[in-house]
Amino acid sequence: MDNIFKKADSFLLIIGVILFIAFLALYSASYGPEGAAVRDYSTQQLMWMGIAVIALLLCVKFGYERCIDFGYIIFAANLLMLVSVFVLGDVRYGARRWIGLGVFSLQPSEFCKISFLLALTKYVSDNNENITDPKTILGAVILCLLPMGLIMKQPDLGTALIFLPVFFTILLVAGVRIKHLMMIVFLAAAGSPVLWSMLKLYQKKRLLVFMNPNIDPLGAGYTIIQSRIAVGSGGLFGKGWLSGTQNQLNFLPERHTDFIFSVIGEEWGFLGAAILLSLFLFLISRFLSIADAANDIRAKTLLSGIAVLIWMQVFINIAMTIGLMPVVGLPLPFISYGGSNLLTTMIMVGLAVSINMKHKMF
Amino acid sequence: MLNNRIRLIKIFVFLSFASLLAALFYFQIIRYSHFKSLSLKNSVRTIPLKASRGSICDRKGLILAKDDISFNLVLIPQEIPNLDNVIGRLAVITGKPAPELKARYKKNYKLPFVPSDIITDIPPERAFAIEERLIDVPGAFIWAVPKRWYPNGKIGSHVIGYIGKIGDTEFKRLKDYGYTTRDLVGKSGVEQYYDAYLKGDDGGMQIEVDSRSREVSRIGFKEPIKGKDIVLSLDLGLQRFMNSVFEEKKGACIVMEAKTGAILGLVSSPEFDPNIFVSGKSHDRVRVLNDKGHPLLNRAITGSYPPGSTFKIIVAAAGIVTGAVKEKTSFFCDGIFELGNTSFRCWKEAGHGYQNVVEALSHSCNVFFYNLGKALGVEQIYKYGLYFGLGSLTGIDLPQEAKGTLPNALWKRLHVKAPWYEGDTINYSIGQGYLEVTPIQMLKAITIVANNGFYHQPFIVDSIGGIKVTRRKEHNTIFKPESLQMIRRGLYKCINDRTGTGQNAAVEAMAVSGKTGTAQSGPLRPCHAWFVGYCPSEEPIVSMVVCVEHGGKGGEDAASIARLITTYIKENGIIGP
Repeated sequence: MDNIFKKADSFLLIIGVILFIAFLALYSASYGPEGAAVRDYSTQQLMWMGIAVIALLLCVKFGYERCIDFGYIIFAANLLMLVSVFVLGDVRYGARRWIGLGVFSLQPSEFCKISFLLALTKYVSDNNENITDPKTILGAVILCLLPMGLIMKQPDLGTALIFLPVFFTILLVAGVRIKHLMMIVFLAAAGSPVLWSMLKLYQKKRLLVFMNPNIDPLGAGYTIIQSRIAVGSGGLFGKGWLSGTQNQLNFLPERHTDFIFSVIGEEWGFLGAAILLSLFLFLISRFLSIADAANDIRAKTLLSGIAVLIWMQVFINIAMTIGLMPVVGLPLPFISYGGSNLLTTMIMVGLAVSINMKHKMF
Repeated sequence: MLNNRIRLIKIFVFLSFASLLAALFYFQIIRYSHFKSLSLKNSVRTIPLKASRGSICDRKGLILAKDDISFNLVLIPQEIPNLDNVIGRLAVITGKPAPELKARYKKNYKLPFVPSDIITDIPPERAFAIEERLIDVPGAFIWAVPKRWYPNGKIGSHVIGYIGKIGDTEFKRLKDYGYTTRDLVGKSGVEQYYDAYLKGDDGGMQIEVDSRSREVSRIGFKEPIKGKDIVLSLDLGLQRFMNSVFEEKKGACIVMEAKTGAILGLVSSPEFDPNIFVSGKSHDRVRVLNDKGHPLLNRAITGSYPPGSTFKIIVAAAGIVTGAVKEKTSFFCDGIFELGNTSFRCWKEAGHGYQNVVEALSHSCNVFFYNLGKALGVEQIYKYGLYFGLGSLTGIDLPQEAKGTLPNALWKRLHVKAPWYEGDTINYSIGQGYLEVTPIQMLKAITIVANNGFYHQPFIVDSIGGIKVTRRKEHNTIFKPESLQMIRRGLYKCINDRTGTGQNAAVEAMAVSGKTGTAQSGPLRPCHAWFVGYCPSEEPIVSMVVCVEHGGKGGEDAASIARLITTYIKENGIIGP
């Protein structure tokens, strides 16, 4: 256990820095004008950071190979949890994503990201010889549609859609023919009108508002407009920590979760945002490099899946806060407030550490 | 080859971060001054425009609930340079004490750009007078907002419901559907059940203003869209009449179109005036909420009572369908029924003599049903109770419907932790003991008899926004018209024979069928009085249930109420050509 940090990588240092930034940003997001009752999200998140670090260490101890071995079981259990959300949930008004576990609640759809990564990795590595066989690919498609369908039904569009890039990455790295992947893309595009009809009214609205935020300045469009003003008014150096007027004056709803980046953009400016982006970029490309160097197909696919998952969430979240993408409700990894998301991300880091240790030894 | 693929991904990662950086450069460096000025001058004003709530009408289009205009004095927090100064000036203008105004402001404060109500419901002339003097009070405005109004007061209040400020848990559940913390939502009745349709879509404006708060440009505008109007199956005239009949009484009464399930009138007494939740004084609300008579409880669908003798219809049906009772089967009633050491009495001490099922229903003979119940056993009674819909929801489109309790041996073991005794079955067979039903469940049961075995799910709402609400198809039960024949004859005789217990429900020139019930509810309090019935007997058009809580005798109190209502229905053309 004690040599984890010796054998681990510089990316752990990067994550430490990102978590520190997260704490500062959440502290600022919780910091309101006098009189307004604002919850302190930063200290609550500190507790989660502690739990997440423990989860990371356990994950390293357990090892990525064993995690993959148990991939199907973990995945099945997770799907069961997703189903139980419906059983325990209030069906009439939709969205119920959490399962209460006494003092705190967990979001099975978050954990499904990992269990899906593990299960799909196991699947493509077990079927590595037949990876060019369309039947094998069909199995992978089914593996992907199961959690997507369940999460879409919750409804949590953002989390459901994030499965797609992960799916394509793992198949791509596992060696599936490009031709086959193109066909899946084509079929998915052909099926998208069906998907559209399955969306809830408010989800359609969000996508339409993205095309033109001004059709709903008080509803979904309001957040985009305010968030863009916040980021844009940050300028080169930002307004300074705890001094973002847009944030401090409560213009931004959900600024501690999905819109935490606009707090950073406003208070730390282009410089701060660029530093944060570079940290993320370094982390993700480091993951990809380790995957590249690994001589084990399982390590390769799993780690590229993890890298792409984190990349996609970072990219979509930031693009969404500056109005380049629809508001789909995805947290910014490591930074947004929320236990399930942080825990999930850190477990993924744990898997990455485990892979890195293994492949440094040889 | 595979490693090339990972490198390909890397290239995409680089490109995507480069594009984010470029976008940030554009917003934060190139357009910095634009966004800076928007944020520095704090110069985007958001002005919400509330949508009107849809109206609720009765079947003839008479208004039951609608939105009127109301004038409020509001403050927009972010526009106030100095709160005490502004409050002081408002106190002079309105004549109200400053501390009171400030307290209201603090209490209603939501967000800096959300107007906070200071004085609500200002009469129009006064509102205009105040508005003229507000021109140089920054941040203070007179707002015209829609306000809910129930023109008939408490008439039909349990059907219509009332609205109130959205609660924290409600808001969490509903925010994805466009609800905001300022919204008023339905708290009971149609207002709650159909809130999503009635609510409408709020609009608003985002305005860029200059440093002196003058409009520079409109960033966005969205027109509020009024909620959908809802037409009920209710008849306001009948409803008003039923309400007057029930004045001073506790209980419930429902009248339904037997062939369709349309509810024509529904009273739960005592009622309440929904207007007090919109603009009434808070002590009125507190009084209603703490009233020992529980005026907010909808007794018609949530109140659970023992059904008493009205339950004999179900026991009779069980006997007929299982073959335990034939046309000629009779039991002798000498006023008493012995089981072991216990004796169970008939309500008529002298006894009824020999009774067949038709006579026993008409006379409501307990001893007959003690014998029949004993022969059937608890599980058969339970099973036929289920067939009539007891112990489960009728599915009426109103919130908070209760299931009641339809016991069997397992139920008793689970809930009372005791075995089922034969004496329980004897009690069960005359609708006493652990059995509890809601008035609407008994209405469903009697409607199955009235319709010769089929029924429609009861409903209140006929159309929404001009579109008919589609109803589920008619339900067939296990009962065949033949098996209900004898029951129908018994129910006819119950009202129309000289010896029937329900004579008080008889109406001139129209045959009514029905069954009375007097349900014991503990030794110290008067019984619950029940009547279930339908008319005209041959080709039933309406079915009805009356339940008077601690109201005395079914044959007297409930049946008389039924007569009054049936007479009204007949005279006002609700039945007929």
